[in-house]
Amino acid sequence: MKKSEEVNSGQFEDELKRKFIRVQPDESFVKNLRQKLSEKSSTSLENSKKYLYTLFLILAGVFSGYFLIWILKMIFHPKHRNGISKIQQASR
Amino acid sequence: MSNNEKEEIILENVLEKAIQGDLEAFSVLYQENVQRIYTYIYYRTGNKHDAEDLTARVFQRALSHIGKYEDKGVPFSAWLYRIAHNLIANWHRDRSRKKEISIDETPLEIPSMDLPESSLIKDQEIGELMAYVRKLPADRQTLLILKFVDDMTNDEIASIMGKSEGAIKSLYHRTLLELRDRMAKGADKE
Repeated sequence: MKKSEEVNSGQFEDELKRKFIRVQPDESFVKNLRQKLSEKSSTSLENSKKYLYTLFLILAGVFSGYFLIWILKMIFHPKHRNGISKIQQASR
Repeated sequence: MSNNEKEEIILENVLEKAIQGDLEAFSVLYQENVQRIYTYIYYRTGNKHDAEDLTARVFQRALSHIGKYEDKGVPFSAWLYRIAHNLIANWHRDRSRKKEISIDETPLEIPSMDLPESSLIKDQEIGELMAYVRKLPADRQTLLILKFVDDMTNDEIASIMGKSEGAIKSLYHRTLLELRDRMAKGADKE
């Protein structure tokens, strides 16, 4: 009885093996996806470069802003040794 | 050294290069695995459109995470299958939320182009089998596809499904019995 069950399950497995087949995707799909994957990675490289460029611009902006403020301060509030600016002296 | 062993060594080298960001190496891995991943997704979703969409997402995710890949002694395809398994689970969840056509009712398209030697009867037979298979729980469907389409061992299936080899062996026997019973009952009704 057990033997016949084993034979049956073996036959059933063979039937499944015969019916479960690999499906071939469309060639155009495979080709397009491969292209997309290589484009995506080059895009991500470009994006990382863009990110660095933006960071550089922000840092340059902050630095030049700080430098401008420092220049303006030097022009309008140049401190003397006693701590009074030229403009303050003139107004006196 | 056998041809299989040589091939394994070559693929290991390719994998190492791909992990380091070599796109050509990733392309080789893609070419090696695209058909099996597509087939797996195709059987689980039942239509070409979703199979293509999800296959693309599997490889896009693989490409963006390959730097974090760790070789644990199982085939690289196991990692891809795990990604596919998770994406399909999300896909089924989204579909059940949307409450569109029941997944079980969706007929599996068997394109005759894919089966050059097949007749209409064979297509019908396969379609009927798949209808029964797709009524099984998701883990049993996965097990059958990996076993029969990819000819994987219980050990390999266990690593993909995150179970022990013993658990897979037992699940396999229960699945075969259940599927056979269902098909027999279906045949009796007809």
